Amino acid sequence: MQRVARIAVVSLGLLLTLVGAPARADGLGTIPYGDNCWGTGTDADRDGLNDDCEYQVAYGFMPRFWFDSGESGYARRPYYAVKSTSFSTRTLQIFYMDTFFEDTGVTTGHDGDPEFQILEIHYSAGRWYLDWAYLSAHRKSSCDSSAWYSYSQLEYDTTDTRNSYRGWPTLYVAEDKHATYNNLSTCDSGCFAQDYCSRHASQMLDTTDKLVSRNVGSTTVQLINSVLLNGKTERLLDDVEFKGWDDQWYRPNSQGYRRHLNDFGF
Amino acid sequence: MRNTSVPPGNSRPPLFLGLAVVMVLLALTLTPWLRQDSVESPAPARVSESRPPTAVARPSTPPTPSVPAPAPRVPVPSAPSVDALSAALHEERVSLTSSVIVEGIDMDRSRVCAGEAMSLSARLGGEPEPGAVYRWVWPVSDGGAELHPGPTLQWKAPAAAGRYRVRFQVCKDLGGRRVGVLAEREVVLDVRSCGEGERQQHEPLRLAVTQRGQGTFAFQALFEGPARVTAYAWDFGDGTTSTTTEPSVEHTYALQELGAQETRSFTVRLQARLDRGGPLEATTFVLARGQPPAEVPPPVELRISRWRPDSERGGWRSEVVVRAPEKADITWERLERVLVHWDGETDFATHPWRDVLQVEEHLEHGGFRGYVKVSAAEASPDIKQILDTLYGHDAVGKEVVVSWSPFKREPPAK
Repeated sequence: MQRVARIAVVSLGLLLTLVGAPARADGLGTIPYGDNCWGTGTDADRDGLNDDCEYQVAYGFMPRFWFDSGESGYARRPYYAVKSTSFSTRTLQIFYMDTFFEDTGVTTGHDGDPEFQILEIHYSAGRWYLDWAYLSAHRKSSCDSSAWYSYSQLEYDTTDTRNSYRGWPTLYVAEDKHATYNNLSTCDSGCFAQDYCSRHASQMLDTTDKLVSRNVGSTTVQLINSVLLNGKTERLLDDVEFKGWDDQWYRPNSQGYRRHLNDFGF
Repeated sequence: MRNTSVPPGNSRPPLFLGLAVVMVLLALTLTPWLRQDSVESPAPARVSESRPPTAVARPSTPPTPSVPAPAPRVPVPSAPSVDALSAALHEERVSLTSSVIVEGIDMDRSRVCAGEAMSLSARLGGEPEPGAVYRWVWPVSDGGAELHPGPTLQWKAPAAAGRYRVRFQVCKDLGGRRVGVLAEREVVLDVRSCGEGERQQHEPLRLAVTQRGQGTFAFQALFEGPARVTAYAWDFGDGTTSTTTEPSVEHTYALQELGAQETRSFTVRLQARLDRGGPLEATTFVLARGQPPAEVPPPVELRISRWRPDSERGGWRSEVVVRAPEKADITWERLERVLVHWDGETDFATHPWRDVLQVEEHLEHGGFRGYVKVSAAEASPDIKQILDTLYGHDAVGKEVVVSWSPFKREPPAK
């Protein structure tokens, strides 16, 4: 009888420990690569990183966006690039090209909206951790509010059991203009207070294709450059305008991603 | 295309019942072992110690940027060889000569409670090495090692009290799995068993940090205690200090001198002066990072404050400073104001710029200091946001445009 009671108590304790699970390890433990990301497998873009590892980390850390209620330009077809920063620190960077089809801002509208995010992550003892995020916000414009944020200054949606602190971040997207920020307060002051964010609708960066077959490689070893969509072609890696697979006569086009990729060494 | 498999979805079967069965089976296995262990094993060893001083109730001198004195009754584990650490990291270590030196390791507290976090920041000296990277490495219990990049580390103490070694290294990639070590320094961290009242959440003074853009941080002092704080003295770690009566302050670090993607750690020290008793102190580390410079500077430098009620005229006002570059000689002409409704509809209006902007001081080359006005009628409840665009031209006739928002409403609660 004593043994039965003991079994019951231990069972309950173990169950509560697992079900309650108050402490969750930081970072992501779901990516099937560690430091074998470096120097193994196929490496189409010749950057020293395993191609499938590039995909797995890009997919694993793909950010979640909060959009405002007034958002009228959700459409996008995201791509990414990955590069090694250092093997010594097991660090790499992921460049997410949001490729919003248009900026529908009241005073800023243009075809093609090349906002982007760079996530810097590292591997240690079985898990990958987010260290830094560079969030573009009208980069190279007169109200450039782009910034680097360390992991402690970012938000994480941990209601998803796969995610943790230092996993994929939750970002705030400025209404119609798609600048991204680490929190509502920073967005509120972005672009001389012109940016507007709220928690209205939440979406992962790529809602449909999970970034499959979206690795552009790099500017020097291009895996994807020309993309034909709706009868129109965009050249993502060339120093040309980005028109968001659209080209309306009544509004200007944006400058493309190339200058940003160059600046950050992709 | 080189993208291969798609990770599994997020399906999580309802496992509660199955989990319970597994737990019972596991308990059947473990119970005899637990019973035997509880009879034959001594009680778990606990480090006997007096209550450590809290990290904040310290004298008013700056925090000691050094390794804490060893606690005599807690043995320091023997240091794993650097080769053992390298083996645990599955890499080949190559020691290199270098002029860079690790001058010291700063810490936000001299000891830490088991299971809690402490911050470390490395101070470097000597000549910087091109291509060098920084990392922290430390052994973990299963014979492996953990690694963290960067000049600072938020180290989470293990659940067991003791003394733990953490090593800071300046490294260089040598190709393949070869890692060159240019400089390094080890610290021994003192992890104590703490009672509930000794944990960080109970410290009388804590410091919260929120980033508000590139190099801009909001600091918030969190004080709990019977005394009254008469002043907050802030040292931002970049040679700038400030004293406030409010518990919050914002500071922007000048990052122009940082290279693109170069990181820097700033040690921020806060002293809360009390109306009775000695001052309290708290320390934190702020990480900032450079970004590639803009090739084309903006046509003017604009600063605008957040709007506040205009007690004289009603409505709202925001302080505006526009600084124009040398030889610009800007002539301002008009201001276009857009009222954005909640349903997305917009109303446009063009005003003479001086009707909307009250200039209090003319600055050089067409710059000015003043405030922008929003009437109560303009900021009616059906307006979500107001956008202003100020137009002018410079000495050679080139159009100069600058824009801001002088008002917006909070999003409705969901």
